[in-house]
Amino acid sequence: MKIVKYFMAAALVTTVSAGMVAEAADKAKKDPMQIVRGAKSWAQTCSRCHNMRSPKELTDEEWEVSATHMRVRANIPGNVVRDIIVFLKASNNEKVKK
Amino acid sequence: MYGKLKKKILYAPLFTSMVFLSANVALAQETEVDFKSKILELETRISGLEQMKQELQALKESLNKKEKKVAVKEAKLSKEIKSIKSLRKTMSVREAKPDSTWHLAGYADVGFEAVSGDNKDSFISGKFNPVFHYQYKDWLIFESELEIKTGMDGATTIDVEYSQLDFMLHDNVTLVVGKYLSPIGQFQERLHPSWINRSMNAPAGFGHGGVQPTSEVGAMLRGGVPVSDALTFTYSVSLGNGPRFGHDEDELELEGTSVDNNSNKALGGRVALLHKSSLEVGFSYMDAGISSEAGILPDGDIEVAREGDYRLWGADLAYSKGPWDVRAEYLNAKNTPSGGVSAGGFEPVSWKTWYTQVAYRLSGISDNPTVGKIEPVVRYGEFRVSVGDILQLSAEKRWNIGVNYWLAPTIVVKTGLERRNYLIASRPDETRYKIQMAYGF
Ligand code: HEC
Repeated sequence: MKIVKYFMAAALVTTVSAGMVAEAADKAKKDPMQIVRGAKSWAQTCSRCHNMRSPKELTDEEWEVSATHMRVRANIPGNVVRDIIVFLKASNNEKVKK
Repeated sequence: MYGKLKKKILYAPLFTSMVFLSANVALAQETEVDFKSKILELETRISGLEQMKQELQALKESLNKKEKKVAVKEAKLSKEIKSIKSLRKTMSVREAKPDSTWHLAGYADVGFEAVSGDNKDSFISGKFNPVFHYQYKDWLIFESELEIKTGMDGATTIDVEYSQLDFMLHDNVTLVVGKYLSPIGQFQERLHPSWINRSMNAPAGFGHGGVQPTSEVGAMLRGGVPVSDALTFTYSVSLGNGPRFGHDEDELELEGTSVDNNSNKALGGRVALLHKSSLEVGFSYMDAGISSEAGILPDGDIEVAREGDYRLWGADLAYSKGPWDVRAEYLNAKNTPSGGVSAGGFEPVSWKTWYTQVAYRLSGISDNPTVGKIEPVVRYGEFRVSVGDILQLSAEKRWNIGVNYWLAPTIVVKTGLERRNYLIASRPDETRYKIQMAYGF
C-alpha cells in the first residue's frame, strides 16, 4: 500500500536529520537562562493534564526519564522539555550535585 | 758634690723600683677585686644558663609530648582523608550519568459501587497498573503499562495496555512503534488513569464497546512545533492494524492487535492547537478498512464475510488553569459496507458520543487548607449507537456529580452519583453510587 511507503520514507528522512540535530545540540554551551525558561514552561505545561507534581517527588534520574516520557505523551517540543528538566533537577533538593 | 751625685744615682733605681712595686701592689689589689666580681658575674650567668637549660629541658619535654599528640592526630587525619577520598570516588560514580536510566511509575485504585435496582453492592478491588520506563541516553524510551485486575468471577487478568518504543528523532518529531494508546481524542491518552480522571469512570461511549479506539499496533509520528510565542501546534499521526469487527453487530474491536486481518491499514491521528492561556483545541480523524472472513465462532455463531469502510472524526477541547479543569469531547464514527449494503453483508453502523466536564478546586476561593483540597465535579454525556436506523440498547444519557478530596497531588478520594438514562425505553434507568480511592505514583 502506497501510504505505508510514504510513512516509512518520512520516518527515514526524520531519522537522518535527527543525527544532525543531535550533533548541534552537543555543541550548545551551558545557558544560565535555561533554568528560568524551564521554571516558566514547567508552570505553564505540567499541570495541563494532571495536578502539578512537586519537583521533590523524584530524583534527577527519574525526572530525566519521566519528563522525557511526558515529552512523548504530551507532544512537548524537545528543547522545552530539556529546559524543564534542568529546572526540576535544580529544585528537587537532591544533595549530590556536580 | 760627686759623692752626693753618686748617692743620688744609687738611690734612683731603688726609688723607681719602689714606685713600680707600690704601683704593682695597687694593681694586684685592683685585679683581685675585678676577678671576684667577674667570677660573681660568671656564676650568676652560669646559674642563669642552668635555669635556661632547665627551662629548655622542660620545653623540650612538652614539645615531645605535643609532637606525640600531633603524630596521633596526623594519623587520624590521614585516615580520614583516605576515607573521604574513597567516598569521593563513590560520589563521582553517582555523579556520572549512566547511559541507561529507568523509572517505575503507575497507579492503583480501589472502590465501592452500589447500583439501584439490584442488590449487588460491591467493593471493587480496582486495578493496579504498573508503568515501566527505560530510557537510553536522550533518544530512546521503552514504555509499557500493564493492567492487573480481579474480575467479577474472581480471576485475575493481566493486559498489556501499551508497550512501545519511542525514538526521539528531532525536537519536534518522535517515532513511536509497538502497541500504543490511541491518539484519537483526549480521554484515552491523557485522562484515563484514575489519579488523573476527575470523574470515577470513563464517559459513556469511551472504553469498551464505545466509539473511542483504545489502542493501536503500528507506527506513529508525533510531536509539537511552536507556531508563535503564544501558540503550539501538536500532531500525532498513526498508521496501524486498525479496528476489527466485534462479536456484536454494534461493536467493533478497537483494541490494537498484533495481526491485521486485512492489508488495509488504519490511518488516523489528532492535530491540536495549544494556546499559552492553557486552552487547547484538537481534531481527530481515522480511516480504515475492516473485514472479516466467514466462519464459525467459538460459541457456535455463524459469521458471514464482511467488508467495511470505517471513518471516524472528532473534536476536543481542554482548559486547565488554576482551580479550573474543563473538558469537552465529541466523536463520530461510521462503519459502512464497502460497495453498498447488499455487497458488504451488514447494515451500516454509526456511533456518536460527547461529554463535557467541569471541575473546580475550592483552593480557588478558600485559603483554608482542608477546604482547598475539595473539588466538586460535574459531567454530562450522551452516547448513541445505531444499526441502520435502529437505536441500540447501549444508547444512553449520563450524568455524574461528584466531590473529590485531594490528599496529595496524586492521591484522591472520589465520591459521587451517576445517573444513566437509557434511550431504549425497555431498558430501566440506573442510579449508581460510587466511591473510589486512587493513587498515582
Ligand atoms: C497532555 C497531558 C499531559 C501533560 C501536558 C503532562 N502530563 Fe504528566 N502524565 C500524563 C499522563 C496521561 C500520565 C500517565 C501516564 C501513564 O500512566 O501511562 C502522566 C504521568 C506523569 C508522571 C508519572 C510518571 C510517568 O512518567 O508516567 C509524572 C511524574 C508526570 N506525568 C509529570 C509531568 C511533567 C513534569 C509534565 C510537564 C513537563 C507533565 N507531566 C505534563 C499527562 C500529561
